[in-house]
Amino acid sequence: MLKYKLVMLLIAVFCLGSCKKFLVEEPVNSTFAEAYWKSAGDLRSALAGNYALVRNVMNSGNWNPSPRYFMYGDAIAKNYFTIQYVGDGLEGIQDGDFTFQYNLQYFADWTNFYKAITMSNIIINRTPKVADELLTDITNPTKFKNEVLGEAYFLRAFTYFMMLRVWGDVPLITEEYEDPISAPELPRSPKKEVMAQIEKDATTARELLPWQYAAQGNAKVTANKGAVNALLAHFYLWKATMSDINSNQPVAEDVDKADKAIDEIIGSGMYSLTDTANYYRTFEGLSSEGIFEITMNENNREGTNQHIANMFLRTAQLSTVGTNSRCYVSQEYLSNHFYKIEDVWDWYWNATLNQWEWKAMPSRSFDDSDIRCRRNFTDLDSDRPTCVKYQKVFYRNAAQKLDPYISNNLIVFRLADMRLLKAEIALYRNQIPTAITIINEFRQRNGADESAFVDDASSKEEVMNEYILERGKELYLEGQIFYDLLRTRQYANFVPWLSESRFRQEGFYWPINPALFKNNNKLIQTSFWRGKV
Amino acid sequence: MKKALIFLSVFLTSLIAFGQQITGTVRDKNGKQLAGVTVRNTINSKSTQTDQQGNFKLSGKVGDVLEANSIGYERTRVVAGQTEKVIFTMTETLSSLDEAVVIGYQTTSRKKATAAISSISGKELENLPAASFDMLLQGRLAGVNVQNFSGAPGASPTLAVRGTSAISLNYSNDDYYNVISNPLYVIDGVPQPTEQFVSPNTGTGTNYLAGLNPNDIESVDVLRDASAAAIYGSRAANGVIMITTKKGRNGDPRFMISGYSGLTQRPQLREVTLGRTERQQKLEVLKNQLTRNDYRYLPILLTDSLNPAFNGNTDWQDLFYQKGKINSADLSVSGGSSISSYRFSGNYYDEQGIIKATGFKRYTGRLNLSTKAIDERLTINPIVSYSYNKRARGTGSDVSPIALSAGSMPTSLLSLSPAKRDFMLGAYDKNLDNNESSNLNTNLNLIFNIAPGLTFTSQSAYIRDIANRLYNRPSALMSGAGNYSSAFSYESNQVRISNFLTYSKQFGKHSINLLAGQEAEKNRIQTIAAWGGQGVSDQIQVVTGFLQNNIGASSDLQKWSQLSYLGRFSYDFDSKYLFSGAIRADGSSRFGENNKWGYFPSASVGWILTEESFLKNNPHLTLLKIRGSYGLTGALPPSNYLQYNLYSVNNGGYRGNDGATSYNGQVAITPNFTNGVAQKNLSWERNRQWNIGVDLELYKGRFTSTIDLFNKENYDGLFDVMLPVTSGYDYAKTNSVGIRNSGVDIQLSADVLPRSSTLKWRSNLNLSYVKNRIMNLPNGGRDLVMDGDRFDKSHILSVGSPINSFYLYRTLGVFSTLEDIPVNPYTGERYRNSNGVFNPGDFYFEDVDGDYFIDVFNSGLNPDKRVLGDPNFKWTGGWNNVFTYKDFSLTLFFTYGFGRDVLNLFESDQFNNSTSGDAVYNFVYYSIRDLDKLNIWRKPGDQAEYAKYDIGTYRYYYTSAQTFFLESGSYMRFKNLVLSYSLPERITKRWHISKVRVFGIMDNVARWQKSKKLPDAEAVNPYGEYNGGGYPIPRKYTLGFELTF
Repeated sequence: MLKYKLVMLLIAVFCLGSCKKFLVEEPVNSTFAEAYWKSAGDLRSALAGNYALVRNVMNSGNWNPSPRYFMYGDAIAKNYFTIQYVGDGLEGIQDGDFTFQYNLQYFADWTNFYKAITMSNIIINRTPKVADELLTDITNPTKFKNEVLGEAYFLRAFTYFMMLRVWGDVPLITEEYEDPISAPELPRSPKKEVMAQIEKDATTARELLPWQYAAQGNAKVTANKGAVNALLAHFYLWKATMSDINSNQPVAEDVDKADKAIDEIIGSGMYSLTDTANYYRTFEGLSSEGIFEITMNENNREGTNQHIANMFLRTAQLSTVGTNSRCYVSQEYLSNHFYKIEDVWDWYWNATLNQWEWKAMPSRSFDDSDIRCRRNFTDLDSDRPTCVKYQKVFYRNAAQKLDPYISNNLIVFRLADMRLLKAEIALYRNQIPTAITIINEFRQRNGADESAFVDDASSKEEVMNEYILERGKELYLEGQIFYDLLRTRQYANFVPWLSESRFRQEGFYWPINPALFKNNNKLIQTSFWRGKV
Repeated sequence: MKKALIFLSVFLTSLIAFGQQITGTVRDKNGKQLAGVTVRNTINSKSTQTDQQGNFKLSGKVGDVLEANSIGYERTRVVAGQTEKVIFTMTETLSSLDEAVVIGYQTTSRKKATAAISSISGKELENLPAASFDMLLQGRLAGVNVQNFSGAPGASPTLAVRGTSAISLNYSNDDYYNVISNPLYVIDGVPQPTEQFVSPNTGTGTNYLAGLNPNDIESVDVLRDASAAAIYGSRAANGVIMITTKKGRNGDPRFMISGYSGLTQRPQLREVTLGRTERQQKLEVLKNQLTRNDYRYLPILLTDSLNPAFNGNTDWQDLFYQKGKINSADLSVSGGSSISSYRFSGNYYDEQGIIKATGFKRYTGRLNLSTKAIDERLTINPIVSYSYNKRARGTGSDVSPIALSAGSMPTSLLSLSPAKRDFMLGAYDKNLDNNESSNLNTNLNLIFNIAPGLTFTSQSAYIRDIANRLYNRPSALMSGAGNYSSAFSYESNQVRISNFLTYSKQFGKHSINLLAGQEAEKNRIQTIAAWGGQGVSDQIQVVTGFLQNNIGASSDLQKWSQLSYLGRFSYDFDSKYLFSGAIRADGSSRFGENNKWGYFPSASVGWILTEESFLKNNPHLTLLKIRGSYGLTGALPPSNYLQYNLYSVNNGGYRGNDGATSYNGQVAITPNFTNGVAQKNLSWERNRQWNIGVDLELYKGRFTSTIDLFNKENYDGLFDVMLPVTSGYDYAKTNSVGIRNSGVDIQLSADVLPRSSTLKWRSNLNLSYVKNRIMNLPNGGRDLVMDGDRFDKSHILSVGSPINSFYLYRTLGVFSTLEDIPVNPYTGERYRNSNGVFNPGDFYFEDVDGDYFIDVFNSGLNPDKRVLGDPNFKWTGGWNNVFTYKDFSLTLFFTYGFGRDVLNLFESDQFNNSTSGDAVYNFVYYSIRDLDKLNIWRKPGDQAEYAKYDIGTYRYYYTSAQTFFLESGSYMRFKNLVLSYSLPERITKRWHISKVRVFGIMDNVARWQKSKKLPDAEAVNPYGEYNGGGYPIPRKYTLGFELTF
């Protein structure tokens, strides 16, 4: 009997001894927090993850092609193009009404933004903790880690900057939560604090990042000192003009900082304008003037079938769609922006003689000699012209021309943008001739008729108007125009729904999706939209 | 391990076998020898079975008390006397009190059981035409609610024991099976890994249990209350279904051959209008609602009645249905001696579906061997079974088995050219779809009698479950974009060992029973999938020869393990006062450091009043027992690695390219921001349950009843809680939900006619009532509208309401004239919604918040919707009647379910044309029902039931989320009619055959239901929605025979 007991005991002991290990199953189907952050590759992939999340922020919209970067930046100024009705309510934003159900649900929502920010927070928190010894394949671990950190700081600043321009006040979170389940409910921070955070992050990134890319393949589609400076240029101009919307006088100190950032870019010698013969290449990406782009290159299977181009292209450019597209370019835009002044023979009423007179008089007429008109637009004689600025189509089923993906990078910052901003800065400093020179350089370079050049005798207000026209030509569909109009206070001529009174009430900001209040009692609606959503 | 083996062998060989033999025979009152009777020596606990002649041999000595036991006879005890032979004379009984019921690791007699257990003998399930036994359990067991919502061969029904506690924030569009919580299945003592880690549309989607041949089942016992189920601890929260398979019998080899064959018939198709009638009705509707100008531009499909392409008379539904065949054949051999026994069975089952290219085929084999060694103290019992299933799935899932969804059947006006017909049906004939699964189950049970009353049992099991699917669609069916192939393979392996000691002892009037054991199991699940598209040749039907860019692949490997300790103590005094307590401790790899172990105790008491002197030997009341129990059970989270913050690899996807894996060619890795928060503190989902029951038996089993009252509270339920947006994460599972199921289970059985009558009528009735309520929800119990539902969100989770309750507008009627429409007295504005004012002919929705404005915001709480309607059955059950007259027997079996609401989405979809971009064309293109038969609003003043036909109004008045489409889901089904005849013994004896039986079965004979609009009130998904899709429940006719020799 004793023997049996002994056996039982041994079995029991045997089982107990191994039980601690027995109940541990580590996943092999994915990596996880404790197992990650152990090599240079891990850091690179995490950073790629952060860029990918930012890419998702900028390209996401509702279920139809409607990348939000352009919806915020271009679509709400109706004078540039028209969104046609298909049932998602997107066209509502062109009339300044952001409250349609799906617009609230998709475009007034922060979810994607905070995923990108959280990723930056995680990288910023964890990268310094990766021991240098683990980075065996890196010659200079400190430099490598600085670059990773610099890019993460840049992405965080860039993401907050995008939010700043759309919502003004947003919650600020700059730490990685130990336990996201008990994450606190955060109120919206005043835009002043958001700006301070962006400035802090961007200047940190500027310290950490070099001009030259460690790997040439990462050029332009990841951040370097140039990208940070370009962000800072836009940021300081926004800060200078939008901190106090009741004042039309920009803050000189911030204007100077913007100017300095642009000078650094130009002075670096890293960038040059694309030869106009290769104009379209700029918008495919990786051109000599590109400063920061989001890659959407089909060579890496990273193209998209919901590109901003998908809202415009028709059968001629994209074989899988019909002849009607969601958006078309407005005729007024074309005739307002691309014109020449020539003598037109016609009957004119002569008031003094009190009779009709046949004579030649200078008059504006449409002129497509500017390369930016010829290259960017087609179907000009129809009532619904098409924008073909982005049209690098790649068919995944090449044989049958099916399954198309657009392979144009999303151009965020480029040299031409920076150079034009110099004109804005000059105007803020009342250096009108400088501004005129810059604008006319652009017109000349792109082949516009001389009659369309800005007259040297123009007033500041006139030049500002010409400046906005120039931005409208140069940066059509690059997610910039609405912010340009707000900064320069030129919205009144281009955004019919934005009255001065609405502007003063900050009615250009977006509301936030009421669904976000569900898990956060401290959130409040954007002031203009209280009681309207 | 090696050491353990050595010890084990030493331990086994050191036993010294020695003892005397007692021989005897068992007979009934008429002197007929009884085979298969268990004879047990109560002194040394050894037992044997009688052979074909009723003889037995058993070790023991003079003076030992022997006990003979056989179902249908009263338990008899005889003291082994000096005479050579012990003779038992057994009296027949109808009482089931001595029947063994399985309580997990042990069996007990029904009389002494203190838990709520319902049981059914395998005999009742034999030869019924169904692929899997769970379908057959419908209506047969109190407290078990089975709904065969899909009639697809080999599909899974939902099976819930005492209500459901499955709750999710997300509406599942394909995995209906998991909408209702599933019990734990234990086959021959081995818990089955029925969890699938892939969705039914990814894998083979075949019911795991369909691999078990219903004819191999000896009995099914359902452990309903906590005291019974707690011995299975962490997996028993939703009840435990114990299946015992048939074993070998002593005696000469006995062959049993049975088979049946029959037809399956489709139910009535839905009514549609055809041809000329359809054209007329549509034109009439359009004439009333279109302007003259629009009316001129109607599609020629409608207006050109002379065009041969458009003057068809096609009922599209008809294309997809067929008459099916059903065949089944069984062979079993069993036999043995007092030392060893065997049983082998093989089965072939083939059911053709009523929808083209659907069906289910199964081959199974099962071997059960038992032999005794070491002086009959050690029983060695290996059980091996293997099954292979092949299930054809048509073109879709069980949710939608035909190519055209129910709501979008084209108009009958379209003539169906042969080419078009080929295309439509090509999906059935030309697709390759090898959808097969196989299951290997090997058990080894070792039972060793260490000393009288003390037994050591070791059960080891290896279960391997494999599912494969090879799929191909030719280019023509992929819009000419080249053919598509995919391959999928799933494999799950489970190894488990369970060791336990049992000890039972009687001291005078006290008897005790002890169980202590330990268990360990490891599971591994792996999947491999590959697919390729845009192929160049239809000849290639596998994933090869595709362009590298058009190929995708994935594989997965997951593991989990569990370690358990368990114990039970049962005590009874004088068979009068019963007590049982059990505890189980489970440790699981699915939880983090802080919460690996869960403890699940239970206790139960019973009092048999009829053993008290004041009731003892009462001729009328043969049993009165009161029972009570309380206990805790648990449930595991369905994911294996919740404790880790799993990262999403290849996460470069973005809107416009979900499949992107990288950023600028660098693989993108991020934490899983959807629901990947590490859950170190996650704990077991727990269930506390009390149960009070009464067992009553009158006239020695002529009338019996069992009534159980229960209250089951699931607390710490796992639920996705939304996190603040600034956390970056969407959801996290937390222990935050409480659900209560309370109710009563009633089981009544009776021999309606006196026992002396030649016509016998055995009637069993069971009825269960369950009240399902959500007790608490996270974030302060806020109501949650379910996500992922259709456009008109119509389900809500709300404290105090049942799970998956409907969330609807209340329809008050149809506005007859303009005067009927309310006007806001403050603004003078007509009653409206955000898309405009209501008009005569629109539905009138209740204005809950009183603002004269109906909110149409769909994704969230809506001030004008209410929690209305419960998709869960309140009453379910069945009624079985067996009439026997001489050699004939007739079975009538009914099942029913009452008190459920069903939302008829199919009907709403036929009218809801409101948001269509091209409403007129869609109205013309799709089939409609016969509008002439409906009281539909046509002109002002009509007192109509149905609102005006909705053509592109954007008024949402035909929204599916309204009570107008809510119907009663109550039904009663005449499920089976079985007529059988056994050849008289005098004939079979002449043929040297022991039994010949022929039978005819009609399955799904008739149905009575409250709703006039639902085609079949049972064929409704577990959310209580009928959407016109799904697989109709067929009627089956079979003829069969059974031969034993």
